[in-house]
Amino acid sequence: MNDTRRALLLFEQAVELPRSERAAFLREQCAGDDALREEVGALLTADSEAGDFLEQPLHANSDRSGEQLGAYRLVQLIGSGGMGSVYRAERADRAYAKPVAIKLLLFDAGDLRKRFTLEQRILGALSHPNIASLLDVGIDARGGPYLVMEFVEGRAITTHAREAALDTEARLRLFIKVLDAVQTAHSQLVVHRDIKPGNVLVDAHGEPKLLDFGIAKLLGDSTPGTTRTGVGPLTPDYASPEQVRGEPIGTSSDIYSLGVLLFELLTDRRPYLMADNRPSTIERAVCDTDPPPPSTHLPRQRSVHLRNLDAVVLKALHKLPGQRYASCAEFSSDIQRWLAGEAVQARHPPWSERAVHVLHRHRLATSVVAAATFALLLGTVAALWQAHIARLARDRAERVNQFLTDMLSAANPGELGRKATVAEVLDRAQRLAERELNGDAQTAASTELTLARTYHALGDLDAARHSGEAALGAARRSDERELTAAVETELGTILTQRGDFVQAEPLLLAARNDAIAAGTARMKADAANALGSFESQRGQTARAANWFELALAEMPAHAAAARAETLNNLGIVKSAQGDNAGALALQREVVALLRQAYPHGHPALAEAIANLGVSLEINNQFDASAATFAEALPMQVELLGEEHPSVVQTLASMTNLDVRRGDIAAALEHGARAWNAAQKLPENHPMTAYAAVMYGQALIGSGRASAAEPVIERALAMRQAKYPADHPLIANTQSLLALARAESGDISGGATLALSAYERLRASLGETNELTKVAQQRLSQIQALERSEARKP
Amino acid sequence: MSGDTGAPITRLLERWRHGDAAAADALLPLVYEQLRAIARRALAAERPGHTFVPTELVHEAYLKLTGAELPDSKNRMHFFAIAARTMRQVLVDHERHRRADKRSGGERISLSSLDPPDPHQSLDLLALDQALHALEGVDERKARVIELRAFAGLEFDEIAQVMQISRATLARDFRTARAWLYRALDRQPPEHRVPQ
Repeated sequence: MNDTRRALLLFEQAVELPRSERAAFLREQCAGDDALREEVGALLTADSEAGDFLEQPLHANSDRSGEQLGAYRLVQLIGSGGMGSVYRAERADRAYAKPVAIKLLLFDAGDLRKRFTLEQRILGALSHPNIASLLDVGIDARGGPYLVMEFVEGRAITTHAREAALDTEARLRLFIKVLDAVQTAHSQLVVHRDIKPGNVLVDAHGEPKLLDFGIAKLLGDSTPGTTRTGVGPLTPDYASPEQVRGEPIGTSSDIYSLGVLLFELLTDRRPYLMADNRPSTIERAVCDTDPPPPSTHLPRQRSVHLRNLDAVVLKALHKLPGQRYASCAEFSSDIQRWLAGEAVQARHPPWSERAVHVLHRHRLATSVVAAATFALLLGTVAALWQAHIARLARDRAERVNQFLTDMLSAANPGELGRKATVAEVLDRAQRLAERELNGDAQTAASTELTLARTYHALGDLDAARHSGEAALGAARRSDERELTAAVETELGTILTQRGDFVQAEPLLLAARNDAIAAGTARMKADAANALGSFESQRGQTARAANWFELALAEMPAHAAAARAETLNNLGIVKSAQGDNAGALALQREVVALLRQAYPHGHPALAEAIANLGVSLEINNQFDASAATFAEALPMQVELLGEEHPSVVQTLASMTNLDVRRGDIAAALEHGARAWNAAQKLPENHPMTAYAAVMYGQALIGSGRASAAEPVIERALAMRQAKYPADHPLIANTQSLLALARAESGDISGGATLALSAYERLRASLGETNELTKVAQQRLSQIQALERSEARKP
Repeated sequence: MSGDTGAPITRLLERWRHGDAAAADALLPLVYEQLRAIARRALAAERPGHTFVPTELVHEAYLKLTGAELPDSKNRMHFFAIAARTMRQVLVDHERHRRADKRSGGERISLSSLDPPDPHQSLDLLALDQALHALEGVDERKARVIELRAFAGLEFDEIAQVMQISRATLARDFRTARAWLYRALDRQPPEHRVPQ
């Protein structure tokens, strides 16, 4: 005991000393007593690693390990906090499956379910090898929502750097990878909001992985328990001034938190010393205190070179969001300049000028940007749907039309009751932006650009154009060529979609020039992709193909999602040129690309494989199609669980393939499985009707028309509730129902319904449409039954 | 609410605060029973998985025992000082009981800081309890500081007042105890696993 007491005493003295002097102190005090020296050394290490350990009163949590949650079994509780608890979990039915992390949230789902699904699509679309994927979102039997995420095993980035004894350059190179990942998320306007070492883990290969992207927002909006400062559950040491004040935040808040992370990575310390966690202490430290230059914490002499690195860190830590790096890409470029020994863009801050005093003048501007960013997050959904629709546009067969129409109606933000709200936010933001931002061209341009993108994503092209033009004026005034290129690309795309080809063309060409002169490779590729879409829209398919190919050549390798999108665009062009085989080859490439990006599987990869299956089926390659579906299905089931819309869709597509190649037994099996899984989807999910129609076809094909009737009736009821009475899908479903009725005995009733369905389709879609032709076939089938019935004695 | 007309517990607290050690002995069983009842209810909450904050339970127990709407802050602080030890005991008893009889299927308790520095770590309650015991053997004051913060949620100023030590001493005690416990609990980052 005496030894322990002595060790504690020495620790208390040593910990007060500067790091550089501790070793000498211990050598002197513990002369000859190595055990004592080791003991004190271990305590000093523990002190520097302990972080927030025991700082806060404890939370007690009941442990749900062993419980099954949807397709997963909770294996082990690995952490918990104010928001809920995190478990390591496994697929309940497969021993070999990779573990996932499941976060159980501590609030009731209520009507949050819809929004959760929306957010999941946004976050699920975030694809970057250094971002841990959000795989699924569900609601447990008690009504509590949970998130299923990629399980990452690793150490906090700061711990890793310390234990691997990385030098400054290695630490910076690691940090650049983090910036690249955050940049990808920001370009899709997803803000992390809670960047800290615990959320940036480094795996066994030394690769950083960002956890919980966008999760803070998901929680922040719906958790009742967030505290008055708005800091809520966030770690105050990494929170930006605007976060601490509870103001709306944007991507620049993440830049700030990254600045704190970099500070800590370089010095093993945080920029501010906070005596306690009182809101007033936090606010004073974060909002009113200038952080010291990080090099003051480094043992070496402060050289000019190191002071340049100080400037980089301090620029990210600026109190004013507008004075920080405008993007992670810019932040990263400056670090790379420093590593190369070049001059950095960051300047040494004017210490005399306390940033705080000018803050409130800028507050409004910050809020406007943040409000618009928030709105855009919702708008992104629409953009994703557009990509989805574009992908499907190649396929012309009946079931694809059917699926497309179903999904379109599900994607309509108005249906989810959010459009009005978003539009209100936007309109208000736009009015404010025009009134308040006249003086600051760069901020005005960024704000208007965000607004334009949001309106665009929401489909309001007039408003999008208005904001886009305002953004263009401001961007050109600001003389920021990179920003100008981004605005020109966006406005050019908006004009293209409006059909204003004459105005779109010079803008897009200017965008390409500006991107070549001042932008990143990604911006050049984006401009080329936009030019390709422009040519594609006005029917110049050969030129379009050239642009897309150029975009693919220039697109950075890591931008897997953008590459996949351009490949899809190229596929649309090929398909329009009648080149189904070319489109198929591209779909193969999309799959290969995503396979590389997600070697361990990912919902996006599984979906691309399933789409390849559809593409193969359209090309009449039935065996290859079957083999492809056979790969996609288990991956989707493993990642998403059986009762997931994507799984239902794949099973229904498989049913269709089985029917086409006459394998009725397989059609019945897949159809029944699709139908059963569809029962568990949210009520009236469009995929349920799709599964019903496919299963109904399989049942009729197997001679069980009377069993098909109730299934098809269910699909009809759902579609009648969803669409206007004259919608083609309703007529199509009625035509199938007519066939089921006729086959199960009610020939005259079936004939009447089939005839009316056919005539409505012919009137609305024309004689040559696939749906009309199928309805005509069914009608003739029933009429043949009628004739043979009439011939009976 | 004055000490003389208040609930017995308020009088006991008054006496204890004025140096009557016997008062503390009389207090403890009352507090223990109340806390145990409240904690049991919290652990058997309708929805397992709910986090509860021991501090809030302590507060609830105080209100129940004293019936005080606006608790006298000095009494409250001393009550919390007693409750910290008791809360720790209640949680540890529950966890021991659960581990001893696995078939009972009782909800396991695990503890964590409000915002764990590393989401892959959580605290083992029994291990923390043992480590605190060991620390008590070396420096009881340091163990007490941690207990007051972790189990009763007292603010640092309040801890300094209850313990009658300066803020500087408190800060030093806290930092040292924390490093010692961190090491004693062997809180290593999770082992690396070779990805498949």
